[in-house]
Amino acid sequence: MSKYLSISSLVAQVAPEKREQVRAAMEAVPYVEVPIVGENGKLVVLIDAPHTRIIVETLDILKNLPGVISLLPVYQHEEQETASLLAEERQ
Amino acid sequence: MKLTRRDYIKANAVAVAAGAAGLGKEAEAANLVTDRSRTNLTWSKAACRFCGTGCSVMVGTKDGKVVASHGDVKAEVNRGLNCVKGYFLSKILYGEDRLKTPLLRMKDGQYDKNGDFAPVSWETAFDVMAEKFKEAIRKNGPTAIGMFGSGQWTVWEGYAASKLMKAGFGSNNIEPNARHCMASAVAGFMRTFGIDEPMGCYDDIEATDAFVLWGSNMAEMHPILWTRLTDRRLSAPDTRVAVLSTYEHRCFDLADIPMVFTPQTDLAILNFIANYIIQNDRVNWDFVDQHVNFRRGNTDIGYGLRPEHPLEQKAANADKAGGSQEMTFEEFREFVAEYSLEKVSELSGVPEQQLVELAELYADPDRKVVSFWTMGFNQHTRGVWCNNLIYNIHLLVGKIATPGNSPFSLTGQPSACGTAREVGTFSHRLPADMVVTNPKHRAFAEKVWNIPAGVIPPKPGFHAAQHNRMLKDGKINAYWVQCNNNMQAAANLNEETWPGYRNPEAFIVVSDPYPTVTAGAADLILPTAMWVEKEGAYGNAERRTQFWHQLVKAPGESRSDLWQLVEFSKRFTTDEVWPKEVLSANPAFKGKTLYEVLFRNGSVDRFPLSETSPDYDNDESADFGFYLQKGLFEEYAIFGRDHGHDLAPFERYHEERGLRWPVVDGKETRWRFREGSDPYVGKGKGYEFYGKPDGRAVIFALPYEPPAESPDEEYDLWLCTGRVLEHWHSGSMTQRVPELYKSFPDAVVYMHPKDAESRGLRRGQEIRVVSRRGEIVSRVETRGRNKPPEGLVYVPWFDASQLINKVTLDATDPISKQTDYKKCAVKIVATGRA
Repeated sequence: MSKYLSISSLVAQVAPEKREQVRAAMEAVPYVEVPIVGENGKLVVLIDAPHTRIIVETLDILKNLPGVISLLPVYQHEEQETASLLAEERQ
Repeated sequence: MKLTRRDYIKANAVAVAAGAAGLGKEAEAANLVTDRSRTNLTWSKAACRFCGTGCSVMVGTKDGKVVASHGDVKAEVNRGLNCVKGYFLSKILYGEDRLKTPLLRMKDGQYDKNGDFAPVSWETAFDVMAEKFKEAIRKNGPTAIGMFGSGQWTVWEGYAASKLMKAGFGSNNIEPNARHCMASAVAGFMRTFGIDEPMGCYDDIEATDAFVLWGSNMAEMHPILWTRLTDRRLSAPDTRVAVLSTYEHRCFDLADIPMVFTPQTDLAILNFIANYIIQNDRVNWDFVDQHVNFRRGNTDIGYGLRPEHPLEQKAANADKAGGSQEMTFEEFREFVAEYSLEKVSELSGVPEQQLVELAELYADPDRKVVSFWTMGFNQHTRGVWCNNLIYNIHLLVGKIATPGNSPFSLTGQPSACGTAREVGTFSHRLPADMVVTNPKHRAFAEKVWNIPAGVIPPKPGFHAAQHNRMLKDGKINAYWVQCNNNMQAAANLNEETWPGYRNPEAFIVVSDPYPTVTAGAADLILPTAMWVEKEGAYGNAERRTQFWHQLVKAPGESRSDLWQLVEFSKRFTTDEVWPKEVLSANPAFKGKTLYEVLFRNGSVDRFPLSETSPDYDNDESADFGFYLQKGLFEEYAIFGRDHGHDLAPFERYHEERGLRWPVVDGKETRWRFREGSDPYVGKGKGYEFYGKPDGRAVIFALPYEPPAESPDEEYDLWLCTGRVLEHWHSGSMTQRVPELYKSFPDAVVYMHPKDAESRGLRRGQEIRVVSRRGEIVSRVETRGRNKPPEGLVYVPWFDASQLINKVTLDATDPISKQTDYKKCAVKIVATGRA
């Protein structure tokens, strides 16, 4: 168990015919799971990251995968101190 | 297998996303073990804190802290989805520099305008503040005080503020920052329809065949609505998307008809479309004959600058900007005839073929069309005209107030509609579209408020841009800013805002959760509870009113704006603020505190504490001893019921994901002005624009006129300012979320590669953006999401370290008094550093 609890879920719209390819590509990204693949090309994406800093980079990677039309956040959960993180980002 | 709390949280996250994606069946098949009780979180609904879309979110709290949020699947607006700002909503409360105690500028233990900020008690803060407000009123009358509030105030905060200023202090000098954002839309609605806010709703998105975006970058500014639009475009392939802007932005990715036009020529394009409809015999005569009047608006109306400015001296109708005269259809036809295809194409730079394609979207009787606009229209020295002109087009073809046919003004702030407009926190307004200049409206307000006749002044107060000018001129001497960051947001910071706030004759109070640029320029800072730290209500762009409960405690000694307003009213008696003649005619009011007169008045205090929810805190009500929010809401609702603005009973909003007013017989209204969907339309009328005495909307003849400032030899580029997806407004909240800060840390200057090259600049180079009024240091960006044409640069304004409003011009629309943030002239020069 990591020090931070940082869990997110998103809905990805992908070209329906490429959905299995995109699922495989997404699941190759660290901390990413794709628990549900809809036939209509909608994928449920789960990110269970050891640190919230990773989320933004992960989103960027996922958004830019071939076949991804859109990626929309749904669920965000974090239990930790924000202040110290911001201080790190600003250094 | 033993499931951990983490597993339950993950399963819940997946289930919620599946709901948002419409994949309920697939989620069932996946055998998710979802037991929300095992996540140890308490979930409650709330309206999102950011833009005017009005998404509903579920907020998860644990141990008195917000730790999670997700899009609300039950919400019609966003259907479970979030944008990236909404995604990180839970974090806006927990920035490291949250203010927790009042701070007063002090020297040697005393208030001193040139002193340093030091913590003081609320008692001391209000002592000093009350003394300054009393002194200002004593010396120079009630026009010497002012308040600058917000379209982010909750409904009851705006109502309490407006009542305190107009009915308490007898001053109309109250303005919301919505003056910078929605005033042109308001004046457009009032001029054309006689009643504010859109006739349609977001349901139009799924019902239409065409979208036209006029000066609206929905992809970044209203991302959830953009998602709905995109879904419609992709699922109904015949749907067309036209995008008009002065630079290319993300919406152009989806555009079937992408158009970049020369700034200000939208006026000519709008008139061309009207001309095209008439020339091609596409006027819907049944509609026009029965439901429309024609009027010729005054022209040469100036630019809302200071009266001594040469442009104002030169303008023939600067003091009669809103005037108009009757005209016939024939005269209107002649008026728009000069806006020919050739002429408008040349003026605007838009190819002729695209202009025709655009006009056909409106003219084609078999096509439904939605027009969306935001700041490109509203922040415009002819913003009201733009609003009037788009209505002209929809009215000429009768494409209005039916599903999928909708001229729709999008809103920037979460409660620009619900609070600023509906409550009427402008210097000329009262609730429910009433105005201080109308004696009947004043009398009605004085009756509802149970105050003597003559307390509400008949003259409108200073408007937003004038506030800063009057502070600088020493005419406003005590000033309270709540829920906005106007030092960063107002145009022409160097010449007006900063000298105004720092004028030794002015005492400035700023209520905010964070030490913003505005707070830093204040004399007294009051720490404020935000969002779900208080019970709240917002009203979105489609007339939807939404409530939430207080979910957590505010940190330290912070108190909500509502508490501050009501508590401060205890410090004044009627004798100190009301006119002598009013008091001698009404001796029963003598010696009362404003708290007694305004809030302990038998109306606001009529609901006991026992009616507050047992499941949630309500710190303000607990403090004052009655259900304050409910009392304020129910008193406020009197203004709108049976008056076209009906609100449902208070409790219902805590149950619903919002309701669109008018709510009559328990039912919300999706399309106004049409028989069958709007209960206010008379039987057999078909359509009725009942805001006007004769039930007819107005088509206005209004010309193209040039902007206040255009590029010239020295200042050779247009400057357009605006927002970016990741940050909301001045960044006072989103810049404190590490993920959002990291996504877009610093403002940049978007410019065309050739403009960079011709100035010897490369991407990433440090530069100065210079106007006649001021300059900032920034960096060149020639790639990315915004692609300006040659001759124009785009700079976002969220960055407190690059205050672009030092550069902008405070020219306003002379009718709406809204600032044009989209057009002024600048030059770009290298700093000489890397």
